This record gives sequence, C-alpha cells and structure tokens, in this order.
Amino acid sequence: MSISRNSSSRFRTAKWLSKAGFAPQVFLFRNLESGQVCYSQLPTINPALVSRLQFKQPNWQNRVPSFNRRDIWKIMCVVTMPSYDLSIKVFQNLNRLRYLRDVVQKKTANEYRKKNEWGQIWYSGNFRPTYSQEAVADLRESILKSGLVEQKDATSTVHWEDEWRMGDVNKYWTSVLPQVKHEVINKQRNCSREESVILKQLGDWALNSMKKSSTNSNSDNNKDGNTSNYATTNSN
Amino acid sequence: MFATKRGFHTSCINTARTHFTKPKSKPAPRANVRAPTITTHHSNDLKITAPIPPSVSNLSCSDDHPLWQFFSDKKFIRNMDDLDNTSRPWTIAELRRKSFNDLHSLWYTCLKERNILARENHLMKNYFENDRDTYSDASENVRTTMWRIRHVLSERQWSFDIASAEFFKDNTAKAAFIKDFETEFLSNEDIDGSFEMLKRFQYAVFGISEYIDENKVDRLFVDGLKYIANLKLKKFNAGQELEGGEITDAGEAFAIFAAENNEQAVKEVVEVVKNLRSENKSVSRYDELETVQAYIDQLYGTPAETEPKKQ
Repeated sequence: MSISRNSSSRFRTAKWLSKAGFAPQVFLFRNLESGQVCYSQLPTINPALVSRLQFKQPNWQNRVPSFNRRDIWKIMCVVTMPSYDLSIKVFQNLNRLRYLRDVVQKKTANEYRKKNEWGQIWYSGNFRPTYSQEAVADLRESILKSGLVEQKDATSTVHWEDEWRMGDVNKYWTSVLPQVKHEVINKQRNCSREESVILKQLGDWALNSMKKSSTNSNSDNNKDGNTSNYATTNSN
Repeated sequence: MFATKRGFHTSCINTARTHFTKPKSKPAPRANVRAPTITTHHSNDLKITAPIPPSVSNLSCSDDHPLWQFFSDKKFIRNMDDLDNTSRPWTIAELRRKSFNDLHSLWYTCLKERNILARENHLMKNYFENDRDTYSDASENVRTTMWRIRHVLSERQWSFDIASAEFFKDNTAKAAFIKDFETEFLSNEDIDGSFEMLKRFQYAVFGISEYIDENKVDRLFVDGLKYIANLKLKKFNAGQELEGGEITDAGEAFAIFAAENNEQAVKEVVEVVKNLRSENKSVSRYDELETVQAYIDQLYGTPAETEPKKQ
C-alpha cells in the first residue's frame, strides 16, 4: 500500500517521526509508467503532499502523476540515515533540488537532459527515463550536502531496487561518499502486495541498527565503522 | 430641508468622528508562545547536477551462464570478416558416412550456431539498422546442413524399416542370416569386437536393446535371450558340462545372458545353472515372460519398484 490518501499531508519533524516509531529514512518511489519519482518521509506516498511539494510547475512533459494506480508506484530506494535530523535534511534537500530543477534553474536542468529530434525531453510513450536519473543525481547531492560527510564514523545505507539503477557505483558514489553503503532489496518478494512488508522490515532493521550503534558508541567510541564497500547482500 | 453639499462618497466617512480613528496599541507579547517545530532547513549550497544514468558495471554475470550459448566468444556481435562466408554446407554424401552420434553432435553444434547468428542478424537489422544479409546467409548455410542431417537420418530409418520388414517376411532368409552370423561370431577371435557385433545383431534380429531395462519383454525377447545364452556358451565352450548341452529354460538363459562377456564369468554361471538343475528349479514356459520381467526389475529397476516385492 504505497499510496495513502487518508494520512495527514504535512511535513514530519524529527520528534514526530521518533515518537511515531518510524526510522530515520527517506523513501523514493518511482512510477513505472512515466519514470517520475516522488520522495516521502514515510513508507507511503501522500498524493496531496507530493503534488504540492514536488510538482511545483507541472507541464505536459512533467505532469503531476496520477496516484490512482498503486501497482505502478514502486519503491526505487530507501535511504537510511544515522539520525532523524539528517534524514529530514536529506528530504528537504531533495525537495529543494526538485524546486531548483523545476522552477529556479529550469534552463540549466533542461540542458542536462537527453532530447529527441524536436528538442523535447526524450520519451517513449509516457516514459521519460531522465526523471529517475535526475532523482539519483539529486539523492547523491542531498546526502553529500546533508552534513553526513562532516560527521565522524557516521554511515548511511541506501537500499536499491536493483544494482543497475544507482549508476556506476565507483564513479558516482564511493569516490565521493565513502560513508554510504549500498545494498539491494531482496527481489524475491518484491511485488506490490509484499512491498509494504519489505519497507516495514527495513524500518525495523534501521531502528535496531540505530539502537545498536548508539549503545556501541556509548560503550566504545573508537569502534571501527562499517566499510563503505558496495555490497549486494540482501538485508531482509 | 437639509442642505446638499457635493463631494466624494467617501467624504462623509473621512470626516466622520468615531471611537476608532486612533489605531489600537499592540497586544502585550504572550508568555507561552510555541517554538517553531521545523528547525531544520535545506542546505543553501545545493547545485543541480547531471542525471546519473543506470550502469551495467555493477552487475556481474557468471562465465557459465547458459545464455552465453547465444554469444560467440562472449562478443556482442562478430565482425563480418570473422564469419565463415567461404565454406559450403555438408553434403549428403559426406553425412552418410557419419555415425548417429556424430550426426547428433553436429546437429546441436549447428543449432547453437544458428541461434548465435539469429541474434546477430536481429542486432544488425534493428540495432545497427543495416540491411546487409551476411548473418542470415551464413545461417542459411547451417540450415542446409541441418536439413541434410535430417534427410540422412530419415534415409537410414526407411532403409532399416524396409530391410527389417523384408527380413521378417521370409524365414529362410532370416535363418540363413542367423547362421552366417553364428559362424562369423564363433570364428572371430577378437572377443570385444565379436560382442560388439552381437550387440548390433541382437538389436536387429530380436529387438533387444543393450540397455536392458528399456526393453519390452515379449516372446521375441525371450527367444532372443535363449539364443544368445546358447551362443555365449558355444563361444566359451562351456556348454558341454550341462546335460543336453543347450539352454531351454528362460531363467537359466537370463543368468547366462546377464553374465559378463568372459570365459570365467560364464563358467561360474554354468555352475549356478547346474545347482539350479540339481534343485529342480526351472521356469515354466507359460510363466517365462513374467519371470524374466521380474528378473529385469530386480536387476536394473529402481529401488522403489523393487522394495514392495521384497516385502
């Protein structure tokens, strides 16, 4: 159940998230049909919030996507940050970057895009691959500027839907963000019905690992952190 | 009457004296003001960057992946110069000289090659959008070889069917053939070679396959069994020790048939047969088929099949 219209469409603070039992995570959902991506603080999409925050200036090439089909909204990646503040920072950065792309620096953003012979964003049917590629680039930029790099021994994990989507891991990720660990969501049960369970399990896993790291840091601050090597192990 | 004075419609309001002409003073600051809940803000040094394209460099594929069979030397597409464009397909005359196993392996080599060529041809037409037919021409050559293989096999099957129909129609010809074979078999000093001959002979005349459990046990099979048992006794001169010198019992025949093809093994089985005869154990002619089938199941059958019989 990736889409929930009934949940309140407001920004969630760190306090609210921790009190409600959510992990410090950011969820990126991808529309399989159009390739558009939306960001969420919770493991669900709230259409009202997403349309307001992330589709500021919709046009015929970048419409406000339809949220009627919950089966074509799939999780693209789950970003787990070491603290709630950082996860919120990443979420805000993602939204800001979307605003920059869509409104403030529209022309610059458009120059990066692959065009078809008429100078439009390349598409096939309703599908424009550039949006998910931009989301990956934005995610990298958001984590980079979130303050994770400055924190010593802090690691972050990104669970991807597949190894392919994240781009060349050495070129784009480990060279710039060695703190970020990449893993792949277990594909075995990744159908729309099971997705909520997977997200729930990832949330539990993140909370547990946060608890562990906090007890570790209390007992021994010099403990060696995780290596940042790209690992394809499945966590759930 | 009241005096009229022309003016704007707001004049009255502006000149009117009310209680509220003086602005109210500001309220006193509240004591319990809620602090802003959103204390974080996006970074100010954010820059939009080029989209990150998906990459296959993260994916790894094992060298023995079955789909590699659709690639030649793991190449995306071969150069046209690397293709064998000068050779010709196998001729029928050449294929006729090849054994079944050779034809079988050649068939699958051809099939794999055609799959590779079909993939490359598809790439050529759709990915490179080139109209050249180099790959499909090469594929046609391979296809020619493949239909010729089928043709040769078909020829063989027809000639076998016709010959065996002729053979079984005429008993005298069959008897003559069997006699010829017998003399040749017994006179051949090469033991292994002669038993290879026997394998082909038993399949051709009695339909006994060398894989025993594949056979259907019928009258012809049992007759063949007896004939071969006698032939084996003659080959190793082991029949003299038996009364009558000939095997007529299906159980005895099966024991000798199943024995290894050397003198010692056959003589050991002859001893067993002697014991059987001394104990008056024999198989009735009416129960031969069932008994032989039971022996085969016991010797070559799967454990699941034999287990209930043990109980």
